[in-house]
Amino acid sequence: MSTNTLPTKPKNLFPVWLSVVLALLWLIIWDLGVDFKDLLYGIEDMTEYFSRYGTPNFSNISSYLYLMVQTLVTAFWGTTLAFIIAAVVAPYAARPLTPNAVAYRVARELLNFMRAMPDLLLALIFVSSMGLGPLPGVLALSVHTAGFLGKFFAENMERVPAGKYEALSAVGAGFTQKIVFAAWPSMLREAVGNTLYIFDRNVRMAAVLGLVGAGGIGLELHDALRLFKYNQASALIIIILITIVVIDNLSSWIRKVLN
Amino acid sequence: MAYISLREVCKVYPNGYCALKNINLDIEAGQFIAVLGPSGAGKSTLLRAMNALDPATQGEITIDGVTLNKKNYRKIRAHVGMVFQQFNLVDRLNVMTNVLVGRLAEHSWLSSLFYLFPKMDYQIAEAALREVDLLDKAWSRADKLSGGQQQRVGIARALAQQPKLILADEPIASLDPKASEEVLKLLRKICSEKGITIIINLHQVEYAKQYADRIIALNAGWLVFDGSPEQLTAAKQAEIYGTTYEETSHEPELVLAHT
Amino acid sequence: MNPSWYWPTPNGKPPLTAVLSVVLPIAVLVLTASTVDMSTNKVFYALPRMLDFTQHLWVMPDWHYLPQLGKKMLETVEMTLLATALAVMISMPLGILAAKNASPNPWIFRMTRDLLSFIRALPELVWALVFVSALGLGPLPGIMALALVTVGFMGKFIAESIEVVDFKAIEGLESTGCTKFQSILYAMLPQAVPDFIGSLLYILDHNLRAASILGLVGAGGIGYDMVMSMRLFNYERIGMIALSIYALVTLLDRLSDVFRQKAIGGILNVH
Repeated sequence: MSTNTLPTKPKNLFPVWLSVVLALLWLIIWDLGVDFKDLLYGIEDMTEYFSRYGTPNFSNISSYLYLMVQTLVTAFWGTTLAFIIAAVVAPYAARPLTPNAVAYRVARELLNFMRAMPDLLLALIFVSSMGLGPLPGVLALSVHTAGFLGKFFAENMERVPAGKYEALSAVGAGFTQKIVFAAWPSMLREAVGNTLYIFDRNVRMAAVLGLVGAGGIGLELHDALRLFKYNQASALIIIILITIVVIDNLSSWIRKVLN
Repeated sequence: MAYISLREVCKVYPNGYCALKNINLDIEAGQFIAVLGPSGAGKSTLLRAMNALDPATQGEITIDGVTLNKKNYRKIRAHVGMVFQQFNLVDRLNVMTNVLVGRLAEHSWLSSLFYLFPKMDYQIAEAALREVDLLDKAWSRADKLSGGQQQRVGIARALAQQPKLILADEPIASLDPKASEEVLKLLRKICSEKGITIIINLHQVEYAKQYADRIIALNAGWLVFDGSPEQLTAAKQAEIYGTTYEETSHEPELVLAHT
Repeated sequence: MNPSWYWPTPNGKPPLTAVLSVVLPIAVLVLTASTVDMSTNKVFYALPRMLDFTQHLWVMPDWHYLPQLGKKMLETVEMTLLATALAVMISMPLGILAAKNASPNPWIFRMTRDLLSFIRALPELVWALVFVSALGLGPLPGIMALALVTVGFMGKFIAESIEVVDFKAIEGLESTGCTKFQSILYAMLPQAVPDFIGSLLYILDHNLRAASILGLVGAGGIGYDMVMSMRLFNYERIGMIALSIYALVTLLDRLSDVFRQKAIGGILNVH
């Protein structure tokens, strides 16, 4: 029998949470000592600064384009290697598939470790071991993004309805067979989306890693800025910009097609 | 020596819940056995203990002379087929591949990695599809089929294992009456023609009486009935399902709705 | 004893898309190997150097560095939180403007969408470079750079969530005669909340990592210390820095897992 009176309204904690967050933000602003007024003063400086980029100098465009391609290729290599590493490790990090608890813990921690290391730090370490050039960038990206991709894949595998894995257990299938016949076919679409997303991210990171000497167009940009060659820097930034926008749109389009 | 024998089988879950209490059963080869009982009685647990998807915590289960223990699960499962309420097909793969999954226990991970199967497997799969009358749909994606058709693919997958025993865990619970009858007729035919032992969980007492050679009933983990369909009187039914004698004697259809 | 093996397709051969998706990437990799100096030699010879490097890491940490490390890490965290909060506030209205079905007119829709695309396109570090040159060193340029890029992503995400919202709920509201703004508030936003939480947590994670690098160009946080200690081969500090970043990122990860369970489970009740 239901009651005749309205049950009391559950306490709405939202305003409490909101005030806590706002208080926290205020505290942070105080502690950091940032003054947003600096922004206003800064706008004049910024406009003057941006005007220096006004006339891009494309005279070295063929070498710039080559560097951009090198950056793209670095991202591609990094993503492919990351995919391979992730595909191998991820099943061990997925609860329904992992052969035993130890393997699961080890795989999960491994992926976490690879993700947590900033790619820049990895790039710095690889550069000091291998010298300048795109190769350290490739390796840094592979290791770092393998962690991300591995976690995505593992989560996708865990989201597959348990029944599919059970059916394979019931026919006597082994670890690899469960991965091949239940996990991958069921998560293929998400996996491709994840990989495209990571490639997208890697193109940006590859450009940035150049700033520490890991090859590509980032290195050129860093040099140009250091020598105050703003016109060349702006040409480089424009090339980076256009490439990233193109890649973004391409991967969105591919994802739309897949759906 | 019976084909399947269960001795003092108990199943206690980690949280303390006891799903099967001291089950003793002997099953001859080639029988068609229906398992009845209210929800939560342990019907699924019983079946899943037999192919070790949810291994029993106590007691002994022996199939064809081999006692189940941790080391031989995969070997036993190779020749025990299972049909699921949710079909558990892999949606993205075609019907043929879903049926071929039944052959996986015979092959190593290397060939499975590439989705390769030997010619003989295709012949076995074809025969299985012919048996369930779905040859024309062999290359369709599994998710494009109706519920009844998908369940028949599930049965074909079990047949592809060339099993001596098929466990059907509420195979018609998700199907409409017409598809249900098709599936039941199919299972009955497989049992009679090929001598495969079939153990099937059902909610509908009428179907059990119509198709089974022997009926087993569980209630709260206990075995409360084991006999021929004729011996299952309305009074006995009332005991099993906990309804009163009058309710069951007038409206046999009412005992269907215990979900 | 060599039976022929086939693929489960009508003609026994693997499907074209499968073949292409394996062959094409391999072809690209092979063709471009030289562009990235990919040589097994180089990697091989680098291994002992890397091993050497990790050996050096196993030294006593520089305890004197601890207070500064703590300060810089705290700064990194604060930058992340502030920048993300700012970005969320700015991207809500922008996201609405950038959603086809919620935007007041098609011009505004297109312009906002393109603006968001533009600010997203450059990596945070490049924006940080720009802001440092205009505002000087310190955390403020880093916060602005992070916030800007986050607005780019959040804005797009919010716009997309609004665009895929279930139209039945909206029809229900519009039939009562409410304004477009009201229908946005009561029908669209609540439906987009669970995905929003998910992406917010993800962005926090991403921003924390980004914030830890911005110091490279002087935009605050632990990045500067990180690069300097590498350049000076200051092994004690590198180990400490790497460890604290690792610990922080992992902590955030666990916290967001917990929060995700609770929030999507429905504790988040707005009304």
